[in-house]
Amino acid sequence: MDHRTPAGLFDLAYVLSSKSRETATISIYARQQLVDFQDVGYGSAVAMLVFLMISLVAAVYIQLTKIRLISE
Amino acid sequence: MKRLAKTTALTLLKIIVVFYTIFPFYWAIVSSFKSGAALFSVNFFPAIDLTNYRDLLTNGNFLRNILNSAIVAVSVVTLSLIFAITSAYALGKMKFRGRGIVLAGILGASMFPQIVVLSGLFGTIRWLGLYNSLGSLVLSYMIFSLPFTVWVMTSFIRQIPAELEDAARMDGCSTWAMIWQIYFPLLAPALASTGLLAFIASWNEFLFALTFTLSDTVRTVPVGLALISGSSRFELPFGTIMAASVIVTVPLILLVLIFQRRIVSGLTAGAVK
Repeated sequence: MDHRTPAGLFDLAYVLSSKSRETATISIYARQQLVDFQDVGYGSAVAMLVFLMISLVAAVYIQLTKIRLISE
Repeated sequence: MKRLAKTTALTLLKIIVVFYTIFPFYWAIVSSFKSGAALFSVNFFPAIDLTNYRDLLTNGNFLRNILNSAIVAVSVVTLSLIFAITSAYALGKMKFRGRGIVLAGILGASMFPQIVVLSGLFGTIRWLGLYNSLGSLVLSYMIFSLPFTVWVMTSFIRQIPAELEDAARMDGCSTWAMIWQIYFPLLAPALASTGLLAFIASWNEFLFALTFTLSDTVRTVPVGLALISGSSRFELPFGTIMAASVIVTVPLILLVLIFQRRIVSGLTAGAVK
């Protein structure tokens, strides 16, 4: 139901196959580093990389489709 | 002839879509009546056997988890709607510099996956002393419920004619009274739809609940459900898990059926000017 799931898919992959490396999404990988391995620095770096990639995709998409986000 | 073919194709498509979406839930109900080896044999109409439900409701923390989920979801919806109405009034009715930037910022904040804010949020929650409490969940769920509610409310409140506000002002209505006595009733359809969507999102949320709570008594339903384990580590109690998912889904279905009309009218209300 969460409208943001696709890019950060977590719940389904975690519940269905949390231990499998083949199906681990980027969210699972980052959480594993952050929580399970207690490596906050590395986990945050992964998260920031996701942030940058999504910003890039969003920026390109907004440019290409010429969406006007704010109508004053 | 051509029309007949078209209707048949459409009906067929509808049946496929309905089957695709309903079947997993039907299968969950069917499986919740089975136990042991019967789970792995195909039987579409098994006898109704409520053992799994009884086990679930008498043992363990399942009822406690449901209560936790309900507390969190209701708090998130209430707080989000209060903040959404007040900020929608400011963003939709008042003129000030940087309004567009604020709106874009709110939208931008809602675009990123939860994992991006997880580490920062974890630090914040530890610092606030909310770790392993329901407060941490209410705080973190507002991150995804607020942008959405604020945006829908803002577009909705903009369509309400300014004359209404002028008339109220003439009668000496204060801003606070205006928000709650004039805009609040007018916004009711939008409130119902966005509130329901915020409720569903909080009810289903998994990642934050998994990370910010530790003990069984503070867990919410999705986490409790995912961590249900059998009597040995080689047994996964699918029957119990299915019974739990059925119980958890029922409140949502009821809510959606009750508010169905309002959801549709509320969601499209802000779309056309």
